[in-house]
Amino acid sequence: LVLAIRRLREIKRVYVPDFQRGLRFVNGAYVNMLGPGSYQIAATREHIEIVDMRPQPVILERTFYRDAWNNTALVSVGADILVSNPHLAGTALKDQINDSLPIARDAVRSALSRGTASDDLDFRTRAVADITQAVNEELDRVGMKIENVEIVEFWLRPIAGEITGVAQ
Amino acid sequence: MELLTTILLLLAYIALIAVAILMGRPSRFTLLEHQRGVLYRRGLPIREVGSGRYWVWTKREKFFWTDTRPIQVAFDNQGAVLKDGATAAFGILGSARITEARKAIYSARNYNQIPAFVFLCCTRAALNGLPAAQLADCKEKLADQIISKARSRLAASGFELLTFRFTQLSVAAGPPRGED
Repeated sequence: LVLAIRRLREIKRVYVPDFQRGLRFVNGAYVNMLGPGSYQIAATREHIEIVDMRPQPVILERTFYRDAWNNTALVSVGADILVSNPHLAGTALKDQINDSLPIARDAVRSALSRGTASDDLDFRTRAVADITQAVNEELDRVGMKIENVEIVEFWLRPIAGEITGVAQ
Repeated sequence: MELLTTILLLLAYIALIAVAILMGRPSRFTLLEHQRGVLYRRGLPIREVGSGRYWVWTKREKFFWTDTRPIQVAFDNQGAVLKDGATAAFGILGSARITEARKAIYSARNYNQIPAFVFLCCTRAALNGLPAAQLADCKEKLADQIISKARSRLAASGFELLTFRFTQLSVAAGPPRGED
């Protein structure tokens, strides 16, 4: 009876809604991923780490970069960051959103630096596609991704001739 | 007769224990008048509920609730790049509240930050499309433009825009300084 009561005390219930996933560890080793539902675990042996799958909107504000022609430009990007691989994200990152931000910012800068900045609308459309691809390539390594990328602010420093009006 | 009663009582106890094992115990949950909740069963959303008192089976069901009181957003001394490279200094004050709990819960990990994100994105984007010379003349028009954009974006996340206005808007300085 004592053993049964002790065993019952060890049992813990974990509730996983459909916007989260549970990573089940038994004796410290990852076993499987739990979908939506209610689970009973033996707290002494098992541990369930909850990973939130919902997006988090972020703004990568005022990233200065130099494009392929060495022009200085500034860009602010709004996007949703979310988990793509719960196991990888849960084990590779301590704080999934905040730890992804420096990776994303660096990827934005290098993606835009490869091209030529311009003020036209086409550039913004192209830049969004480039940023999404480059950031997702980097974030994929830690089980994260970005969606709904938008350029909320962009500025390209005019070249010297345009400022002074002097023909080069 | 006594034997029959005993057997029936025993069966009732067994049924109760079985229900407790399968569904848990019933538990009461109260939502206040400024709260809206979503009832989940086996991890899936069943229905959205308003204020009141509800019973849930602890093993199968769970409430996730949201606060529908207005969320205030205030930003002061923010900088935005204008179309011609000048910098605008702006401050905004706005508020929004949750109207659809289910949409809000799914919209973000921290859905209380959605109004701030939307207001900032819409304001920066609107200012970025405007040259410094036009800034002073079209402050009202700019606010209307931001409100219209922010309203539809907030509605998509289950929010209602209540107020929005500029507390500060001026051309601050020359172009932003890069890392030359």
